Amino acid sequence: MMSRPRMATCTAAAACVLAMAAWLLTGMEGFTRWPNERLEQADQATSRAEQDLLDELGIGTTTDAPTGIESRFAFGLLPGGIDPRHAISVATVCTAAAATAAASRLISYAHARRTKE
Amino acid sequence: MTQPTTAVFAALALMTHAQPPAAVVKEPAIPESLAAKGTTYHTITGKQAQVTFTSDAPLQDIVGKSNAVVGWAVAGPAEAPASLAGGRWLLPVASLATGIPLRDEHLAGDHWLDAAKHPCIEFNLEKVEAIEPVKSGSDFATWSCTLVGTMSMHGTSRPMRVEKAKVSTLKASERTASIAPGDLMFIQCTYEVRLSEFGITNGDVPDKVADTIKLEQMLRLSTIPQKAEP
Repeated sequence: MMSRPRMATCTAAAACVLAMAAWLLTGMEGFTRWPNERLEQADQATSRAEQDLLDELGIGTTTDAPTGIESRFAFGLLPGGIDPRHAISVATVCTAAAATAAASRLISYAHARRTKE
Repeated sequence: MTQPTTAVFAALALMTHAQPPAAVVKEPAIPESLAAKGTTYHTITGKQAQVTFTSDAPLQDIVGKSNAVVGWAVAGPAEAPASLAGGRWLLPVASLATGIPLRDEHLAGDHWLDAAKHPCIEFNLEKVEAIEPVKSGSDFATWSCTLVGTMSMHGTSRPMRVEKAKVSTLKASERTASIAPGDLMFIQCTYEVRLSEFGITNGDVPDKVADTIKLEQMLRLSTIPQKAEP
C-alpha cells in the first residue's frame, strides 16, 4: 500500500498537471480572469442597422473595433486579482500542492522519529 | 458529504458567482442657466463601449474600455446645434476594464488613477470652435469641430482642446428607436492625454505603460433621459 507522504506527493503532482492542463485549455493567459458583464457589454458590436446609420451620418467608425479584450474564463499562470475567485491559478494550485506534500512528508518524518525513539 | 467538503464547495460557489462591484455614477446635475439655452441631450450609458484607451509601450500594449460614461450636452441654437452651449461628462475610474482584473485593480489603485480619492475622470465642455458642416440630410446634420474644455483626472484639472471631433444630431425616427427614444446626438472624437500632466507618475512609465494615452470616444446621447436599470 502506498504511504501517506507518497500519496500526498502523487496527488500534488497530479494537481499541478491538472492546473497546467487547465492553463493550456483556457488560452494560456498570464492571469486568471472570469467573464465580466461590463466588459461583455462594452465589447458588443454595433448592430448593422446602427452602423449603417452612423455611416450615413458621416461618423462611420465606432470604438468597438477588435481590441483583444475578451470576457471569458481563463485559468492563468498567476492570480488575476485580490478578489478570491481570481486567486485560483497555476501558481496558487502548485504552491498549495507543494506545501501539502512537504507538510505530509514532515509529519511522516516526525512521526517516524518519535516511533524510533 | 463531509462538512469541510461542503464548506469548500460552498466557498467555491460563492467565489465563482461573485460579481465585481458596479462602477455606476449618477448623471451630474445640469445648471438651470445652461439648460435654458437649448435642448439637453443625456448620454446613453451601459451599452456599447463609449471610451477605448490604448497605451503603446515598448514592453506591452494595453487596451481598455468603459461603457459607464454619464453626462449631458446642451445643444446650441436651432440653426447651429453643434455649437454646444455646454456639456459635462463623468467616467468612473472603476469602470475601466482591460480584460485582466489585477491590472484593473492596479489602474484604479493609488499608484495610478487613485479611484478612492478621485473616483471619476471628468470633462467639462466650455465651448465649441471651428465648426464646419460635414454632411446633412432631411433629419440629420453632422459637423466637424473643436471641443474646448477642462479635463480633470487624479485631482488635477487641465484645459483641453479636442480637435477634429464630430457632432451629429438626428431627429427621432423608427431607425433611431432601436438605439434610444428621442432625438439623438453623437459625439465622436480621438485625442491624447499625458499621464504626467495629471500628476500620474509611476516606475512602469514609459516601459510598460506609455505616458501618452490615446483615447477614442463615441458618445450616444438622447433628449430623453435613460431609465435607471433595476
